[in-house]
Amino acid sequence: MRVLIVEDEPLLAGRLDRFCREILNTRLESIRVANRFDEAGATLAESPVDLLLLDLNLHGEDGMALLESSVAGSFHTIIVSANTEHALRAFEYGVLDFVPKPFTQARLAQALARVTERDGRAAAAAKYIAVRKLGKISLVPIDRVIYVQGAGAYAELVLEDGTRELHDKTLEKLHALLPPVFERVHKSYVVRMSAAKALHAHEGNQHELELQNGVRIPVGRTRYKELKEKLLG
Amino acid sequence: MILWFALGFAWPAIAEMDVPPPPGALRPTITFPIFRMRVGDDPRWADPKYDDSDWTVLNRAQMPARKGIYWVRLKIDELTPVQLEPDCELAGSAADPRCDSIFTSSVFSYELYWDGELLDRNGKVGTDRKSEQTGPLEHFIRIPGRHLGPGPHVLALRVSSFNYNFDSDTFALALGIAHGDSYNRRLTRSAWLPLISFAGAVLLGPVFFVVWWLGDARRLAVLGGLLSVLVALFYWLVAWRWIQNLDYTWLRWRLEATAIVFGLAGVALNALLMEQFSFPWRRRLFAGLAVAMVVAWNLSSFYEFKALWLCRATLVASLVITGWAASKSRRGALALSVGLLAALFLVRGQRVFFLNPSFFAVFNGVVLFLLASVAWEARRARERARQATLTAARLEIELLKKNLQPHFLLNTLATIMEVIEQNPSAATELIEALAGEFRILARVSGEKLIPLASELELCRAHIAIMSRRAGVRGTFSVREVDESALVPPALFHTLVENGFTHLAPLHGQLHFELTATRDEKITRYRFVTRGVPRHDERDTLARMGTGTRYIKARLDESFAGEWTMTAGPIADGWETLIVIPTVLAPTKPASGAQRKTIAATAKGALA
Repeated sequence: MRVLIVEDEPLLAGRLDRFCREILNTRLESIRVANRFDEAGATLAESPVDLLLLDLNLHGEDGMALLESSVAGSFHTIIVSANTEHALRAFEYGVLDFVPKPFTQARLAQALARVTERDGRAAAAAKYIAVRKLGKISLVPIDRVIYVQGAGAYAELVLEDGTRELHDKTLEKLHALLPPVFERVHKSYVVRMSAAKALHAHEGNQHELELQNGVRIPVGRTRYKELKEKLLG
Repeated sequence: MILWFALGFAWPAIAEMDVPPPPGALRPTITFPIFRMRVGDDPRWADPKYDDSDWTVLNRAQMPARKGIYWVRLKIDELTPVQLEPDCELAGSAADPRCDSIFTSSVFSYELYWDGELLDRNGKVGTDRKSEQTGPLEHFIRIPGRHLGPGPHVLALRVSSFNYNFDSDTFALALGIAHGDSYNRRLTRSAWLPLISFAGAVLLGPVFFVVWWLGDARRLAVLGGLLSVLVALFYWLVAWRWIQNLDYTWLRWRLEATAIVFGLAGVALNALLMEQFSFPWRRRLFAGLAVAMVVAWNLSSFYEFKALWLCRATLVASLVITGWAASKSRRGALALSVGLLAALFLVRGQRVFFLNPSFFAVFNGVVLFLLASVAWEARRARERARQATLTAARLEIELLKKNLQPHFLLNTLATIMEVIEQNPSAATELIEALAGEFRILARVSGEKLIPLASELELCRAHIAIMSRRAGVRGTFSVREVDESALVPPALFHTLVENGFTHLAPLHGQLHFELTATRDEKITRYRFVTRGVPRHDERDTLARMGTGTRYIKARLDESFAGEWTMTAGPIADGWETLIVIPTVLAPTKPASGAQRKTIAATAKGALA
């Protein structure tokens, strides 16, 4: 895992650095510190990371602008901040966790587990997905998303009106932020189950999930079994 | 009370309405009746058939005074214009009321004969002051039926005037013939205007008293009350004529008193306007007004016209005040100026009423407007006081919140957590600095001004904490300041905060400096942060906004309008200049224990 810490107070940045090393151990590929967000942006452009630990209050910067920019990235965001006023909004925008200051190593470990564990999920489901389009961030309400299709390093959000939005995160990362109604039905598909109509089985172990708007999503073999149990059981 | 004033407005309109002449009536042309006079005393001169053609023709406005007994005769027929409104006919007709009464206001003693019959006396005619007796001013005489008719009639007066007490050597004969009932009705109606105005002015008195008692705008309330009393007195003196028929020697004193009271009311009005608008050249205006009033008094021997000129002098002076106030865009000044100007154009002298009703209508309006302004001012003063209290409470909360806010407190605790694990003794010092800062804040947040010494303690504690947190070497130097001077709480503390947030250290150091230049009246503080601004000047100024907003609110609270603050970049950092009035604490030497505590606390600060 590659980690970037964005924190303006050196002592606290050091604390985060030390904790990350101790918690992640060999899983930690690289860890760096930036104390300004624009500096962080430059670093990210050079070498992408998997996780961003972000303080919203950097030298009096506007935390919300930073937040929006961050959650649109390809990496997970964990907020480490003294100001818990913003926690609710941060979760709505799609952060993995919000660690209030002062923090202990145990609390940070709890947050990092959401990244390292398989099927790790955000502490609270997002309400919006931040999408970067033409340099601006637009917030797509999750209510409008029918399913998400993975496309390599990116994910495509398909909305109820048929529009498609491209997001920098992988399908796995995005799935971690979505509410439980979204199921991973296939290696490349995460579907909102409330939009599903019927489950079809075809010969040759091909399975499909038919949506209410008629679209058919392929269902993976193993996942079919789980899905069937969930729907019937 | 508004009703009284409204009536006061409406009445002049009613009172001045012309009674239209009855259709087809014989309208006499304007010629003056011929009065004839003869000095001496003979009862035969009452006889209507007596031939008075060789008597002196007299100008009825120039009857000699204090000169002994003489007789005056007047022949009255259809063409003699002695009738006053409403028109009446000597003969009487279906369309017209009949002239059946004589009315006179006399400042002399007389016996009145109509067609040879003695109808009325005023006191007793005498040969000298002692033998003469005075009588009431107003007389209303019904002509007996046997003497009514188209005429001609002869009216004879036996006159003496030793008790005439005006300065003049002559007096006017005010006599008229009218339809009695109509005249009396009209007379009653005319009494209403001054009485209504009197009632209105009297009611104003308690209103101003209540304003005074509520504690707002006290000077204004006193002056307003005084003006109300004087105006009420003026109207009473005018109305008295109808209320009580005094002896005619009182007329002069009543008229004089009326004019004097009117002059005083004019002075009071100007004083009130000066107070209302904070007029700067009071002495000069009063001096000018005094001169104008003396001149006005001497412009006419008639008291009513003295009052007219006094009124004009008053209005001109008032216009100077309201005109000046209007040029300064003071609320209400323009409206008042228009009203006063209208009054100046409208005012006319008028016998009996002193001044014409239209003038009173406008004048009442002016006074009403003034009263509204005073009440408005009182309300605004109360509102301002309430705002000030709210502001003080809000600022106290803001100060506490600023330092209890999550960012400062929790970040500091997070730092302490880290430092405890890495460097326990440093952690203890950090906690001590934090405790010191909170201790001072708890003490000063409720104050408007605190000694500079406490403010500096606060700054030192904050620098110690922030230095540890930011990993910089923070230093503070203070030069040439008087630590007993008073400043708003967290004045420089806020600038320290801003420094750590918006400036990066220079070679690992962030240096703060405070210097002051002081004279008796003002103190100039120069607060410098030496470091590298993180953003450009405009950005930095914008970002420092919230903090400086607090400072400005505090400066407004204690020194409204008397402070300045400017900030900007300098060669090696950022500079803030604050100029405030010099306020020193009353010095009380610290006790031994106090001094020890202070020293111990000061030592606790790091760096």
